[in-house]
Amino acid sequence: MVHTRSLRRSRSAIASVLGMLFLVAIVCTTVVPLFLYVNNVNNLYNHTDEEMREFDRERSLESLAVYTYPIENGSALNIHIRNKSSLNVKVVRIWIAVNETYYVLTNITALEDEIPPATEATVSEVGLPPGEKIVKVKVATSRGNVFVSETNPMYIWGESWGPSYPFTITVVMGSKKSGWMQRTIYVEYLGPDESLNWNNTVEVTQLVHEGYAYASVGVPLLGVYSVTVWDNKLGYKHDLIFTDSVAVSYTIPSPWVYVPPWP
Amino acid sequence: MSVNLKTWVERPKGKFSKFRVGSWSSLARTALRDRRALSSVIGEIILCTSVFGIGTALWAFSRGYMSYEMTNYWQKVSVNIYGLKERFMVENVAFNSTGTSSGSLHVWVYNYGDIDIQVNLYIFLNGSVIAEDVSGATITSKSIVEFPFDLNEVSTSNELVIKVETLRGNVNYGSYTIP
Repeated sequence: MVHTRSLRRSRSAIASVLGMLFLVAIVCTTVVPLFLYVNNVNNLYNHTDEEMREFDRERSLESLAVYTYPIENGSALNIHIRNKSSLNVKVVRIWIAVNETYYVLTNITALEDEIPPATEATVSEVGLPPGEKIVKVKVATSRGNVFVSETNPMYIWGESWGPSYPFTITVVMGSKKSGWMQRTIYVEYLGPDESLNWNNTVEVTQLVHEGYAYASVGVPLLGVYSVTVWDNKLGYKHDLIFTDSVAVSYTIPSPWVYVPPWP
Repeated sequence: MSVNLKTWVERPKGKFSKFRVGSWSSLARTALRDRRALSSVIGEIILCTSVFGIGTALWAFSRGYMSYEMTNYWQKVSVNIYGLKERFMVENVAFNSTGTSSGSLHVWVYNYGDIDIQVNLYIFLNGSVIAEDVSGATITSKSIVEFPFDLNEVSTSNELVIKVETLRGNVNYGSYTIP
């Protein structure tokens, strides 16, 4: 009798065991794979998110300095691009607006390769339509940045071109307080050759923030300039406040010279 | 050997078991007991079959539901992933005046991402849409597409806002002041 009951009990256990096996099978074949799948998909999402963040970070790090200057009496243009960032930069297009008509340069031979960090590339002799014109240049990179030329806009007419020189020497004047500042200085530079010598009175009227006012003096070419700055009082050169040699290069196309604050 | 039909002798197998002398009624009881055992076996088989059937059905349902959920989840996440991967910008805008208050606006949109995108463009002036392109034009990866618009009732120094919206919901803006 006891033996029969025990046997029956053990037979009942078969169904329980079978049920448990199914439960385990369901867990192993559905729940666990589902969990792993969701985990993988989430990982893929996170990976993509990280990848795009990195892409955006690299994009924000891109920095190009673009200088354009006319050649051949204003009938053509040289475009000089310097990579100031720590990443290789690929220039995909150059937009040239001539009197609001856009020309686009693509597949440029000089820019076939990426521009390595701290190096330059020059696109030479880009033809321009004849006559008086206002030229604006900007370059687009593969990471989706657009950099405008430092010399925008350029006024080119006849055989010469306008006062917006591609390079500048920036005179930085300290001021003891913020607010409007008025100052007249006399700036003289002696260029790499005599034809580049220049002198003039520069009037500075600026709303000064953080104690500095700025005046830019255009220089036409690269090279070393001997710069002299005087305070101009009563219409003549009064006090010599700065004298030094200043190098203008593609690396530093707008060097700063500091003159003492207004006494 | 003659057999007494009135009685029967059951000889147990054990060494010290006694002979049990039973009648037909006891034989019937024993048979009934065996039948009860048989029904419990059948019951057990039915139970196991039921467990097996229900388990199989549950397992198949779970697999199907899992597959459905996987597909569903992937579709939702993939939309987000593709949304994350979209990168585009208004690279250039130009305006050609054709009259005192009209002209054609050209907008170049650059897709610098790794996937193709479909975009709609809207041109706003003072908060109102003055032109749009809702064709959902496709811009393939790393390419640029020009969108021309004919504008009326615009004048110099009007500031236009260009809204580029992808079909996945990403938006980018550009602005342009009519020269």
